[in-house]
Amino acid sequence: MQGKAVLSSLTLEIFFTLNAYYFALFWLLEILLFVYKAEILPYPGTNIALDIVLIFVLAAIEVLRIFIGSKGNLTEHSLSTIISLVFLACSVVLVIYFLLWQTYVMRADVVLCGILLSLQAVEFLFSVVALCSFSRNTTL
Amino acid sequence: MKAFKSLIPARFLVLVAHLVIVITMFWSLDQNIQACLPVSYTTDQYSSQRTLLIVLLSITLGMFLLELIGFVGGFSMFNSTQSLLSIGAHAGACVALSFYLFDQWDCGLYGYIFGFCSVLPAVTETTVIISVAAFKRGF
Repeated sequence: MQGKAVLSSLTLEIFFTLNAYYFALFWLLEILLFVYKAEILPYPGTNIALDIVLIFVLAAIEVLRIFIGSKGNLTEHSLSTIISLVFLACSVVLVIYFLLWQTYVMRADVVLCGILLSLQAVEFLFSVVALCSFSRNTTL
Repeated sequence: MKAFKSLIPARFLVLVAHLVIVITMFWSLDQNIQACLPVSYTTDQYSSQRTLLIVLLSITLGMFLLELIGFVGGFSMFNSTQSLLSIGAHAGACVALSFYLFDQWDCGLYGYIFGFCSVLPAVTETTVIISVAAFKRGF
């Protein structure tokens, strides 16, 4: 172990931490926006149920992704990083759902989802870089 | 030490909140311009006010970029003076700008909010970045 260079990415870890806090804000604001939309707009049929279920699914996926990704980065573990990238793909699809396909999209929704997507894009980039350096330096 | 650690997420979230409000302002520019013009205004007055606001809002976005680079890049992440100043200024901006949007304030007032809540933290941020990058020490 002596003299082995640290491969974990500091930038990735910073973005995971900031994303965790930002996601808490995002989730809270989305729930408040749902309350607002349900008050002032008529929801057709059971659409609101789908939107609310999906925001909880998104929360579960994001928590798992950030936890596994952060642990994978700190332990320089390739498999965990790959799993977190798979979760990242699911999470991006759900965020795009809230950006484009949910029943009512407000300006606040667009701005919040846009910021989350840009954070996820940066994390994707640094995750791939970290994954390359982990898999090059370990024998599986 | 515990309070010091929570300055980092607090600062990030307050910055993002201010950013969200500024982007929303860009979107709903026209309603506020009418509030700061006389009852009967000409197209020239309208377009000059609109240009002024667009320029100010664009500079605000540029200052966000500067501050986020200084923050995420680690220049001022652990600098509690700069963090507190930034949190105070941007939290003030969030409150003032939500009143500005909801109550349709005179758009001349945006200049003051811009000066105290965007330029001030950006100037100190630049000082911190220069002192760390050039003289290798923080405040």
